[in-house]
Amino acid sequence: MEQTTLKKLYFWAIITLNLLFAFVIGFTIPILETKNSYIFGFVMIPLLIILNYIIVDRFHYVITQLNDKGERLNAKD
Amino acid sequence: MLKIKEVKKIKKPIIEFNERKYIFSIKSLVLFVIGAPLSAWLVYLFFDMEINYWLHEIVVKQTVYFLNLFFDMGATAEYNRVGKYHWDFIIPGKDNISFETFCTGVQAIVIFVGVIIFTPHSQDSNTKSDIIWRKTKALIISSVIFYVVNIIRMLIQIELYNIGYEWDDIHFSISAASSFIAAIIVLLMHKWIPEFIISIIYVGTLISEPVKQGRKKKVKEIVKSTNKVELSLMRKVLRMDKKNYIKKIIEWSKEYVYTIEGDYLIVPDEEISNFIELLMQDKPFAKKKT
Repeated sequence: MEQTTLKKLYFWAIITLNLLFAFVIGFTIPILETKNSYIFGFVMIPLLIILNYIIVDRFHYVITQLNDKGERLNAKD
Repeated sequence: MLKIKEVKKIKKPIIEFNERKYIFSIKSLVLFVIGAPLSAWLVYLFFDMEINYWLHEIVVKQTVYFLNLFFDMGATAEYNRVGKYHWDFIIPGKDNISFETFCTGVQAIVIFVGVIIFTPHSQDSNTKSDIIWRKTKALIISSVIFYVVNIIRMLIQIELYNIGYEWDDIHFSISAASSFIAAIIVLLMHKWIPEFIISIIYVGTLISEPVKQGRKKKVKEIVKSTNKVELSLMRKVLRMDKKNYIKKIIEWSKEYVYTIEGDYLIVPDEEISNFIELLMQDKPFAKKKT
């Protein structure tokens, strides 16, 4: 149970970082002076979406592993 | 063409490392060799386009911020849309330093991005189950390290320039010295994606396999016709270090009643077929598990 809570906190932290990353992208574009600076968003937002998918995929992987472990322990009992 | 056919016929080796099995398809290895440099080059060309000069601006402005924070230099960033590149460092009392795509460190980042993305996945389901996560970690951490080291490199160079060193004397030497970080990234990469180094070893194993098989056949023919084989040739076939080989050959001689005479291993007539069978195994002379 404690391990699950730690894992949840870990995922909460990396999702928060990803949201901050999104905020930084949005905050930076208007203050850039370079011509066509909106391209920064075109490059970074797809990366952000891919990263978001990878985090969710990892969350699913870890939860599946924990459930399998729990089931195996229950079967032993 | 013949060699490719020979490689395809070979039973794929399995490399075990940290309790995981690594087996790679030939297709993924070829894709790695071609895809990694090609994708790195294409991504670099993309970042060298004028539409991506936002990257120049971010790097220049961050460097200027830290120059003023640490050295109180009064440096500024200037945007000037003349010439190929548009951003310059302005250092009071010094000539301007123009900024180009190579100064962003993106060339080092894209090389590792290409390598990490195209590193082959093992065909073992357990080994490849978390590969995307491991590759993502390697990608993010290597890119961040390169980016930070590149900023530190520029801080050192511009401060040295500011205190009086000639730009040509410090620019190339410090840039070359800072590339040591690539070696650290390779070591870090091995922690998360051992597939990178293992796939290189795997290619070596695949290429040397036909030679190994050829030597085995040669030993087989020699033993069949003369009952003896040169000890040095046997060592080449078994790929063992000298110390371990001597120990093992004495052990096997006792076990299978072979004799050692000078530089030769003598195999008795009744043991020849057994000797050939043991030699042709994937792991020669290893005892079969019952």
